[in-house]
Amino acid sequence: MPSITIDTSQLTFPLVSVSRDDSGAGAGNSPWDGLVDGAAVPPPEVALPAGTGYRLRLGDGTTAAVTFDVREDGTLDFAPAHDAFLDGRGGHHLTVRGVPVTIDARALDHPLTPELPGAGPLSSDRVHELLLLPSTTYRLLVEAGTSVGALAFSVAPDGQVQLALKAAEAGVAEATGSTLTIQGRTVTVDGRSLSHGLLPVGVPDAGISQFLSPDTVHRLTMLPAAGYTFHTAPGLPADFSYTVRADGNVDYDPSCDTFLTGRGTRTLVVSGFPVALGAAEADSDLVGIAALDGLLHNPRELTAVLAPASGYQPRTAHGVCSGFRVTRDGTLVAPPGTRSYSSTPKGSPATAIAGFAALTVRIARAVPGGAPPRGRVTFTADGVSLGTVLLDELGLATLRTAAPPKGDQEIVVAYEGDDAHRPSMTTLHVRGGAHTP
Amino acid sequence: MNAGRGSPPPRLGRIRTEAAGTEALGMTRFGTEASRIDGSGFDIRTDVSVIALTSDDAEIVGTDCYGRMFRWERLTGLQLAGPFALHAKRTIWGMVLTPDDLEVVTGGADGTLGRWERTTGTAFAARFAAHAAPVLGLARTRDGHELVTASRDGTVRRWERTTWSPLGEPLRGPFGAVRAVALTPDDDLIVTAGQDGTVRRWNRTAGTPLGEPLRGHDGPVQSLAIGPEGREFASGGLDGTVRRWDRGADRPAGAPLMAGAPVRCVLLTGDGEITAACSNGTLHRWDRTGQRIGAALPAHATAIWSMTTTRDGSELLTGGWDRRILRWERITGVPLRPARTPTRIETVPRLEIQGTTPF
Repeated sequence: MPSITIDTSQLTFPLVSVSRDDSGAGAGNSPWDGLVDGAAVPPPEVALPAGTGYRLRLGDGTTAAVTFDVREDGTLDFAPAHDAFLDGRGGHHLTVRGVPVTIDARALDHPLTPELPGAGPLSSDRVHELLLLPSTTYRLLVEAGTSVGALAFSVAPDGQVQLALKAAEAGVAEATGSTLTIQGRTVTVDGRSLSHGLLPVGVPDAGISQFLSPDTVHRLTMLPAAGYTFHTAPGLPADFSYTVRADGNVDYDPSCDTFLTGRGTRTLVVSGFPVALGAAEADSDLVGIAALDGLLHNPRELTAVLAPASGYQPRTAHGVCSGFRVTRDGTLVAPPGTRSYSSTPKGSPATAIAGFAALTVRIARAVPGGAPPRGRVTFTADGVSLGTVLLDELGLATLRTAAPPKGDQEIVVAYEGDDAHRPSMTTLHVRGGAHTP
Repeated sequence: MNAGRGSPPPRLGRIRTEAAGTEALGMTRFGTEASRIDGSGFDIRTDVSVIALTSDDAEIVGTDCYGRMFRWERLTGLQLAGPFALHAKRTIWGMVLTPDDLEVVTGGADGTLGRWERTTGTAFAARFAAHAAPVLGLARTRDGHELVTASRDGTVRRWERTTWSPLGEPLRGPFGAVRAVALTPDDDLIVTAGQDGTVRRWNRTAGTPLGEPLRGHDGPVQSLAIGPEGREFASGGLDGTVRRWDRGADRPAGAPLMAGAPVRCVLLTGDGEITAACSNGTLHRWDRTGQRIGAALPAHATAIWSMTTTRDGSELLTGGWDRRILRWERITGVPLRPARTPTRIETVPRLEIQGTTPF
């Protein structure tokens, strides 16, 4: 069987395999399935029986629109039209050249990776000049978090780039000559009610390398795809993802409706859940939550608004504790087997709360987004004021008492309102009995 | 790109401070000057330079002296989006919305014009160097196809909006910096005002002056307004007066209206009333006969740089460098409070740590 050496060192992505299409159309019949690095020195040899219609495969589902033949004497032949890409007619050494293609994805905040073996991500901080073989099946993948999305395009023998119809219609990219310019879609992320930033996953140092601060809203330009996600702290993935649709609007799973808003718009509001962490019964003071700096706390209590995630680790003066989880419905879940946590339930105002030493309420905006309410909250039982508390920066107020209520009680909680928020009032039903931490 | 790239280092979490309590009430926070009307505005956290309303009056689009654009919900003051960095930290002195509200066109102190998607701030095209000096005024035709810019370079220029193609020759004259520009509702006339204290009328398409320059101000003219019918003009000057003009006459219509402080913006409404906003933060109103309506309103703590009304003219909005936008019932001059957002009270789950730590 004749041996042919293949030199693809001039291509940007030099890994290839060879398939043969005896019928001239339809599925290929691959006599040799492995990929070879045609940029290796010396160039790899492949044994190919004499035949026609050999094709260069660039990856699963990506076959170059270039064919060659192996004659009976083991030499190469191919159509004159392929001279622009191939050298080696009449010999045993096939040199493969590409056509220049420019990929400009600088508008995006994440890299794109060609769906080709061995291809690395194309960063969004610069224009990429590639040498590609003509093919109708190139795809650029989003590699941000768990996202699933791709932009399909083809490269014609004359180097002209053409977008797949879907992408062209959506207007997320534009092909002009040999240049593919990807505009993506811009969405706004509003996590201003959170106590922590949000790090878009899969956005490397070329783009946003920092957490999106909760101080303001942020704009991200992305290729439409599903599965974009964040980290809530370094190494702590949030338990949700979202989709950027082709029309630029965001979408997400209905299970996230309790803390995400903005479906069908271009703004994703991440509201999170308020949490009160107490250490009154612990052997040391609370210092914070690992990797989340500057949370609101005193030595024995901490309040925060957290996005759903597993592994929030309280830190005491003695060390870092096992992490707890904030679920998608706002429930706080201790790690299995841990007896050092106890929790009071998240609940509606009608939920009975066992006797308490500290009662924390959140004044929530009926319309998500924007800055938390300010002002005062008054707690009253049987017409007697238990205390008035200023809301903190998160819109939380905690009533502390040295004497937990005895017997069933109704506590009226009244928020006075501020310049931007209406007053509100509710009644909490407190069950009698000593507070059981 | 966006606020994320190049933003300051992250700040995870927030520090509890006593200030959280002391600035809890907006009335107190913004009402530090006893003479100022308070409680009507909302904090915009920037020095606004131009404000405009979308055609449904639902949204305020604003620009600032740092070259940025914002969007706010009119009734609540809720910030909908922004800041979008548009003009490289240079003041945006001119801004218009296209009739379909999809596009914002800006003119900046960098002499450039920009076209931006309103909802996202995304550029439709690269900024265009239109003038050799800051763009100080910007107007558009009714259909939004044509822009007219006024500049400190002493020219007024017309542009095709989508291509930035110049239309006709620049309007030039011995008038120095052109500080304000407006179009009559029929798009026939361009009206300009500037450093030399005159108000000038031009045939828009021919680019030729119409009539004599209108003289009356004692110093630069900083603002212009044209009535909804296009028959009356008003101009506001550094001399602290508002002058009224008839479209076809070469003399002032009536005596000057005395505001007493440099007039930054002027507005002519369908009922013939004139509102002027001044550099000392005051608002002044006159009826169609020139009679003053009420006392001057001490509206903003600093200069009012922009003013607009709802489509029906019932509500007036002012924006100043005291970082506030104020809403007024125009006829009465009564400040309007932002519609307050409803709230609800939620109990917060607690997690108690017990015993020996860490575990």
